[in-house]
Amino acid sequence: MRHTLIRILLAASALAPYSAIALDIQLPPETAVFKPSELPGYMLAQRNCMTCHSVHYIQSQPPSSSRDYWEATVKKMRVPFGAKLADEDIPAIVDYLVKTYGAERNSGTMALNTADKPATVALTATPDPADAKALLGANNCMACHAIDKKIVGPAFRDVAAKYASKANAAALVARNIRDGGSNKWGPVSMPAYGQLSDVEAGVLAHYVLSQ
Amino acid sequence: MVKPTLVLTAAALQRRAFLRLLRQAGTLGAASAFGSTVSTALAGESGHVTLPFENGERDLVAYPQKRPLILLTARPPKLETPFSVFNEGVITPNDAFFVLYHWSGIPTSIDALSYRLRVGGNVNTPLNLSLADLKQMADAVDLVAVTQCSGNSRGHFTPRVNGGQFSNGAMGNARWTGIPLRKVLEKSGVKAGSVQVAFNGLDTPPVGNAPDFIKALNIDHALDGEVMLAWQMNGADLPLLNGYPVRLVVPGYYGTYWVKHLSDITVTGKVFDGFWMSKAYRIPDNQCACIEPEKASVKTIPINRMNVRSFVTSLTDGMHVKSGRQTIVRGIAFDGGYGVTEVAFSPDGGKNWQAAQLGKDMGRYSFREWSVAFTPKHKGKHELLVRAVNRIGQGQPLSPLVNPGGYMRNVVESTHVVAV
Repeated sequence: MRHTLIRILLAASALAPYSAIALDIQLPPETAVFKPSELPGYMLAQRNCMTCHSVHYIQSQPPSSSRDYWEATVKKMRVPFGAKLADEDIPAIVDYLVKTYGAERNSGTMALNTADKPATVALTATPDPADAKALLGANNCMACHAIDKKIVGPAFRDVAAKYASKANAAALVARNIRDGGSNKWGPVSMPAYGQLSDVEAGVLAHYVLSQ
Repeated sequence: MVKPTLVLTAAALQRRAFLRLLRQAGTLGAASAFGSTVSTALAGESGHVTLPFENGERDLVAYPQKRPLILLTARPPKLETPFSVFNEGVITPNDAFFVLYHWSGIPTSIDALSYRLRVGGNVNTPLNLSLADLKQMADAVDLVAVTQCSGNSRGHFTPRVNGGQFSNGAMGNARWTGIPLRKVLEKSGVKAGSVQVAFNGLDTPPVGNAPDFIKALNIDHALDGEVMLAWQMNGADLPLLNGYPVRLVVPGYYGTYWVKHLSDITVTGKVFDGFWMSKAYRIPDNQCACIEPEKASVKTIPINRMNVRSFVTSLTDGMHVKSGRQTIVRGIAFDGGYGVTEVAFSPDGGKNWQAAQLGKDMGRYSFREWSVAFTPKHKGKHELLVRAVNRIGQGQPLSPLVNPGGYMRNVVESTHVVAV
């Protein structure tokens, strides 16, 4: 098998002797994150914007950028760019963006103390599929993932299969959810969901691995 | 922290090509046995720069096959060339060449053997071409040409304009090798009445219903014999992030047309109306491609040919020169393909102008080097201006022309130095 492959490659290289055969790159990890805030749009921005692009697109804009600019831009992400943004979430996202990165900075908002992370869902002591479903909804996981097919990110079933043989699978997947990750499944990085508690990340990891 | 890596699956490469690829990767790392996979860890973050406008702090990051470049966005990558590179030579090295994508679905693994370029639409014979087919279709041609982002220098506008906040490094000049697009279209047979040719690459939107990045050229332009399908820049395969294995080269036109990882060429019977032609990359339809700041709506057309620009490269703001001693000031100038015929230099903020000497002519699409002798007559600050004129008399404005996209900035640049 391997010999056959090498013969094919040799034949091809004779036709184009100075060309590479396959070129694979790994992109550097994505490190930019949204500025923490008590504004409700902070979580919504994490859940929606980072599906498609890094935070750089937002944080590098001129600080003078107006509310009108941010509103028009968020709406452009939905039409024509196809982001699955809920109508009711747009005002909060715009408000967070203009007050954090735009013309309304320093308008009475404060950076979020990391000790005060809001719990998105109150959890019971034992993992419950209903908790997992609530967390999936609250964090918009299904914008990028599906159970059985790749969307932007991998299918949960593919993740489960990849980690099936690993003893600490739940811990690894929980860490990938909280810290984000890149270069495991394709060109698009998984944003960090650092606002999740250990328990919440564990519930989600358990759910993913059970698919 | 995971370091970015470059993995070259180079099973059947001749040793020479293999070593060249390694050099391209910016390293001469240990090459193990023939047929092995070579992993080369490159440096991750490599420092920071502050571009000369508010919120201009950027990381320098080494992407695969690249030296540390100015990171504007990570996903999809937008990487700007540090301006000092343009003082190293008239050709921009591949590992310093800027990178720009529109959608985050970028290819990170491309097999040159299974790569295919489809040619279809309003043609007699649709084609499905391998890289080898392309290379055998016609004699390869070389052309030195600048490509520049439409929004290069956008960060310098006052008031600021939203969009990619580049300084002056979203441009580069390379020797491109490939075949004329015309050869491919002739082989396919363009039907009478064709209007445009649309170009798509392997990059895709991250969500299904977003408009794919597709650009179009008028049929006469596509058949002009100069538009190229290029597989090499500066004598080496295209770096992946610059369009491996084949990209469109549209000499004189802004980079938005230089579609990377070219996968589909479609001849159309009407004007192609995709988002990236009909809504984005539009400029005011007038001589200056500009508007009065308050007037938003004017008739627009797709951005097209680059305007005239010139830069000092040997001195930067704040540098010291010797008072009373001659300094040779050097720089570059270029335009959209008429060719730069004149570069004027002012040592005193525009009161007096003198002609600079033009360097070697590498073709009308290339950067043109220039140099001029400058002797500061007094200690203290000096404002140096440079202004180029092309073969048809187009020059550069003394104050910036403005359009809603922040495109086509080509104001006369000034460099402030201090004589000591």
